[in-house]
Order: sequence, then C-alpha cells, then structure tokens
Amino acid sequence: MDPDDDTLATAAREGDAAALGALLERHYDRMFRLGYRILGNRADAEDLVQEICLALPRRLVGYRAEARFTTWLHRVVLNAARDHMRRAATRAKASAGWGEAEHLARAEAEGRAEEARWLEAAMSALSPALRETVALVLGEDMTHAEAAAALGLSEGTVSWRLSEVRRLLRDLAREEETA
Amino acid sequence: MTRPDPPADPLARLRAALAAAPPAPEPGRRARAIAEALSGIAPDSGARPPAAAAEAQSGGDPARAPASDRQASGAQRGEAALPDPSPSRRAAGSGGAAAPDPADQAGTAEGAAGRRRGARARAVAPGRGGEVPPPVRHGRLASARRRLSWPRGRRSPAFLIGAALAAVVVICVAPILPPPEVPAEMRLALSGGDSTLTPRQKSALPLAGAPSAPPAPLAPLPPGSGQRQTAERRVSGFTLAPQDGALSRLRDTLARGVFPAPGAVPAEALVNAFAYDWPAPGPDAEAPLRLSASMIPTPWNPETRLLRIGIRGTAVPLPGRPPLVLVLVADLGSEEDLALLRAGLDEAMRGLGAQDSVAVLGPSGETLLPAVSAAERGRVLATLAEPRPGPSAQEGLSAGLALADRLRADHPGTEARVILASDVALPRLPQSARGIPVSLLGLGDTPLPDAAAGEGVVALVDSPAAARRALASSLADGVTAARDARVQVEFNPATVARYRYLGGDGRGSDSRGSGLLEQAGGGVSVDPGHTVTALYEITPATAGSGRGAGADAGAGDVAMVRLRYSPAGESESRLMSLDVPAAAGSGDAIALRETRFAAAVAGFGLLLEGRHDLGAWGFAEAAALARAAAGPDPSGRRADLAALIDTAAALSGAPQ
Repeated sequence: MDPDDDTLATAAREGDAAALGALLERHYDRMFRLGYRILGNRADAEDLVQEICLALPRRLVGYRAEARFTTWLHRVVLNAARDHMRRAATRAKASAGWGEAEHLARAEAEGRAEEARWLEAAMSALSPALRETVALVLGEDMTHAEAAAALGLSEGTVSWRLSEVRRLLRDLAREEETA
Repeated sequence: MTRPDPPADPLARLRAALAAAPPAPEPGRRARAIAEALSGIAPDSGARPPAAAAEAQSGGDPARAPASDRQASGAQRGEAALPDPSPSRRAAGSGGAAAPDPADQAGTAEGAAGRRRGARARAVAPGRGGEVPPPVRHGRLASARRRLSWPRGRRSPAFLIGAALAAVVVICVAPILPPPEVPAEMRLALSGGDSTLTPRQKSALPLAGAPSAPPAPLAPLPPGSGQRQTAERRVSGFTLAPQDGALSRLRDTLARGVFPAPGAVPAEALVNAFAYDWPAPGPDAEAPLRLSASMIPTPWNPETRLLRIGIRGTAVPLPGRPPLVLVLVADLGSEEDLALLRAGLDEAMRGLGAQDSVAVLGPSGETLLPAVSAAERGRVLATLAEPRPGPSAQEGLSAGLALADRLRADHPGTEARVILASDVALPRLPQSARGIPVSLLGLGDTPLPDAAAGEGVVALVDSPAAARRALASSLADGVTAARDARVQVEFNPATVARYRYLGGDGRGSDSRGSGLLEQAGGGVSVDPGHTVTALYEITPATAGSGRGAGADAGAGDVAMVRLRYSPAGESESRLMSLDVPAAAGSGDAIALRETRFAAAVAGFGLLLEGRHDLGAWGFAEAAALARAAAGPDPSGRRADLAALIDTAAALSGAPQ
C-alpha cells in the first residue's frame, strides 16, 4: 500500500529524497495539467512545473499538514502561475491570450478543432482570476469549497466567479452567433 | 457561425473542452524536473547525490538511481522513435526549436545550481551518440522565440483555413437565413455591402410607430456598426460587472509591438478600466448607488451626440453593525500608490461612522496616527501624505495585529480589522491572526506572497477602482453596496432616431437589457466605490438633414435610465430612474470633463477594432482628447493611456 501524501510530504520535509521523488511522481502530471490550463501553453507550463519542482524542497518547510496536501500544492501552482504571468507581463513577452499553435494542431488531429478554438477564445476572454477558478473547478473537478480553499477565497466568491464565467461565455456565444 | 448543437450550459462545454486540452507532459522533462528537485535535498539525506540524473544518463551507477535512469532513457528512446505528434509546433518554431530533448534543461533552471546541473547535462548529452535529436531550448527565451516567430501565437495555418471555411459558410448561409428572425443590423453585417442594404433595411423597418422620425433623412447604417433604430428597439442594457484586465492586456500586447486583434480589447472593458469621478451618493442619501448622465457632442461625428451614463456605488453604514477598529499599516514608497490608497480609503471610510475608529502604523510598527474616530476622515487621509517605505513590513504587520488585539480588548463588543498596504514587498500572512481579519494589499506591481501559509486575504491593487473595491470589501467584510443590480436604458423615439452602445464589438453587447429589469437574479453585485460607465452614440431624430453639431434635439427627454437593485442586507429590490433631458450637456464641469475622457477611451477602443466609421477622427485626436480631459490624474493612468494611444498609432501606421 502506498503511503499517503501527508506521510510522504512530512518525510520529504525531513530530507527524505525517496519520499519527495514519490510525491513528485504522483503529482507531477496534476501540476502540469493545472499549469497548462491556467497558462494555456505547453512550454510555459513545463517551465512552470520545473520551477516548482526545484523550489519544492524549500517550500515544503512551510507545509503544515493542516490543509490537504493537494490543496496546498494547488496553491503553490497557482502562486507560481501568477508569478509567471506577472514576470512575463513585465518582460512584455507573454501573449495575453490562452492557447498556442500546438494545441490547435493536436485538437485538429483529434477532430475537435472547433471546440479547441472555442476554448482558446473562451479562456482568452477570462481574466487570470477567472481562469484559475475555471482550471480548478472545471479542469480539476474540484468542488467550490475545495477550490475556495486552494484559492484562499470564500466559497461564495468561487461560486460568484463561476457565474461570472457563465455570463461571459454567454456573451461570447451571442457575439459568435452575431459574427 | 455553424455550431450544430450549442450546449445549454457554457460551463459544461468549458469543462469538456478543458478536459481535452492539456497534452501529456513530456516524459523527459518530467524525469529531469523530478531529478533536479531530488538533488535539492539529497546531500543531507545521502539518498542520492546532486547530479543524479546527469550521472545516470552518462551511465554512471544505474543501481543507485534505477527509477530516474529508466525514466530518462526510456523517454529519450520514446522521443527518438515516435514522430512528433504536433507538426505545427515544428512549424511554429521555425528557428529550429521544436524537437523535445530531455537532456537540455538549462534554459529554465532558476538558481545557479540548476544552471550548473543543466550545463553538465548538456555536456553529457552528446556522448549518447547520434540518436539524440538536435539540442533544443525549452527556456522562457525559447518559448518567447517560438511565440514571436508566429506573431499571434495561435494563428496556425489550420486556424486560418478554419477561419476561411467559416467565412465561406457564413457567406453561403446568409442569403437563406429566414429574414424575420434576423435583426436588421445582423443582416447588414452578414451580407457585407451597403449598396443592397439600404432598401432592404428600409423595408424591414416599418417606422410607422415612430412619431416624428421620418425614414427618408436616415443615412444608411454602416454594416456592423451596432446602430439600432430607436423605433425598432428602444430598450438597451449594459453590464454593471467589474471588467478587469483590459488595460493591462492592451499594454502587454502593445509592448510586444503587436497591434491588438479586433475584439481583443472590448471598448466597454477599456472604458471601465478607469474610475471616473461621477457624482457619488450624498452622505445622507438613502440609496447606495447614484445614477448620473450627461451628453457631449460626439468627437468624431458632428451629427451625433454621446450620452454618458454613470453609476457610482458607495459604502453605506449598516444598521446594527458592531463598532469597528481598523488598523492600517502603510508601507508605501511612491506618491502614486499613496494616492491610490487614499482614494480607496476615502471611499471605503464613508461606510464607517463615529463609533468606529482607525489607527495608522508605519512599516516598522511606528504609530503614525493613534486610534481616532473614523468620522475624522481628513485626519486619517492626511496621515498618508508622504511615502514611508520600510525594509520589511513584517514588523508593521505584527505590531498592527497586536494593536488591533489590544484595542479590541479595550472596547468589548468591537470588531477589529488589519489592512496592510505595501508597494515594496508584502509580508507573509500571519500564522494566527487571533480571529482578526487581515488584508494584504499589494499596490502597483508588488509581488504577492505565497498565500499558502497563514490567515487572511491578499489582493493586488493596481487601479483606483481596484483600491476602492479592495478597501471597501476588506472593511465591510464583503458587503456590497447593492446586490442584483441591473440597468436599462430606454430611448425616446421622438428625440432619438438611432443609437448605438459603444461597447464590446458594437454588435449586440447591449442586448442584455431586454427583460432584465423584470426578472430578479440576473444582476450583479456592485461594490462600494465601484463606478460603471456606459456610452451611447445617439443620432437625434431631427438631425441628418444638414444641421450640424449642437443641433437641438428638440424638447423632451432623450432617454430614461432605470436601475433596479437590492440594497445590501435587504431582500426586496428597489427601482431608481433618471430622466435624461435633451440639454444634459450643461452644468457639472467635472462630469463633463470625465465624460470627454471616457469618450476618448471609447473612441480609442473603436479604433482598435479597426472601425472606419469614425471619419477623420483617429489616434492622434483620441490621444489629444485623452490628454486634454485627463483631469488631476493622481495615479498617472490617464497619461499612460495617452501614451498607449500614441504607441497604437505608431503600430497601426496611421499618421500621428
């Protein structure tokens, strides 16, 4: 039976490399997925997760096992993604939009190009805060309460943000129909 | 567009699309990243030497790192054997930066150690022989290069083909669309030329219901301009929701040297990226919101006028609320950020009363103002007059919490709040705040701390509107000025022949209005201090026959604005309305100046969309108007806008 996240995280904090390795093996894909859904770009998401992995031994010192490990990890990814976007913005290199050529090509190969294009338009239309919320609730299938814990917000705010997303997407759809 | 089955719930659609979106992470990078993380803690534990993966790849001691070695080399084999599943990625990286190479990580490692390890890994890689694909950079620079080599990042050939196909479909479908279901302006946009449009539009719009709007003098509506005939639809609406991010998105795009794509920066969002000094509800006003309107000549069209509708919320003292103690810790190094904080505080403190108290501390916990009654707003604001940055605000935060705790203990029955504002660096959130809500406000570009540890709220404040919202909601615990607010504008067909909302894309962003007022629950919450601004370009019913600017639209009101909302803490909704007289252009000089500035922003937004219906009015005129109407501009954001307009002008190739 595999040890649970908390056991591994506690061991990793004490300097157990095997535990850290197991923890990262287990959660790397999750971090990458979340990073990708927020940043909308594979290269950026991979850079992001690599940075997180590098910094994780140091960050684990701050992990208190009060929240679930995944909640804590989500926060780490969210903060790293925010930093990433901010840095990118100040260097004036980031594309404000969500998505990339690779994503469309892949989607095209899988016969879902229309949805992929819609997704890029939709995600680009959302503010970073809404994108994060969407990545957690819709991407990671979290409940509003779980997402609220990861975002450090109240549950009501998460629900409100989602209704905001729904409103924006409806507007988008209306514009699309009119276009 | 032809979408076969638009799902009822956009969130469900988004969920499905998001589920399919992320690719599998590159196994090579995955193994490397994990190996590097392990090397970060290995020296202490002795489990694995630092350069684990590099050595493992060079064949040194596989027994000690079986997992990472297997993974790394397996990944390499896999990458070498499989064709790249994403051809366009190769195409996009025309600089030769597409093939994944797990051995090269140097570009992204943050610390020197990471860079060292990366360099070693690269030195080792060639030893693996010819099966290794050419080295590729995955660093930020490389991704930027990839992006730059394809200017928009997501306009692949596939996308262009798709767009072309879609256009063909639209063109084919347009003629067979059943006329009664398609609003006039949509048909105009679909059929795409105005020579055939005018007669059709005239026949489609029976103007018999319009008392004094003869159809003959009406100029043809430009396609896609978003104009509406008042006689056909006299009710319009717009959103009251905060729309953040438009200005920074625009700034980023322009800084990259790219002219934004049409629709990327909706005029509506751009206009509302600024806080305007619309009249606020009076101190003893019953309503937490105030509606105002004014009219100015349209800068780009002498035949029309601009109607500006402004809504401003204010914090209202909640009855029965326990007295509040606010401890404010200010760690601010720039005048602009001080001005932001003062603006936000000025507004937020209107929600406080004489029974509440405010104290101000400096970054190291020094007392700048002992606790005074919140009614002394001027004294509090005067304390925040000069910059006083500290090396770290951590002490200030601890001192603030201690003071709040003491004040709360001295005055039983009160609640305490600590707000720390910094434009240097935010401290970490306290591990325990003793039940006192803590808000950390990062002003300007301040990096936000890791919110993982500690209690409290962290917010980024980069505009006066954000400052007002953040402070007011910190103070009042998320209490809004009004809930479920919805607004509707009804134009008078006797005085207004046509109107258009200067909003998103001019194509129906204002359609939210109809029926919204009647149904509860369709509105949004308006935070204290939030302002909403909407602009309509209206064509007076008597204009168009040679009468120029300032033509009197005749007696009678131009429009009636209705605002329905539920006050905070009440469930019943209230309705407020405002008649806009034809002569709403006189009076309040501040409101007129602000309206002119809003017009400059909106005009700029229209120019960004590549609209050609602004005549000779271009970027230069927009910049000039923005500068002339900027007003005091303490945050410098309006001057920034004028500079952005200049940049956009240069990028668009238009003469300055």
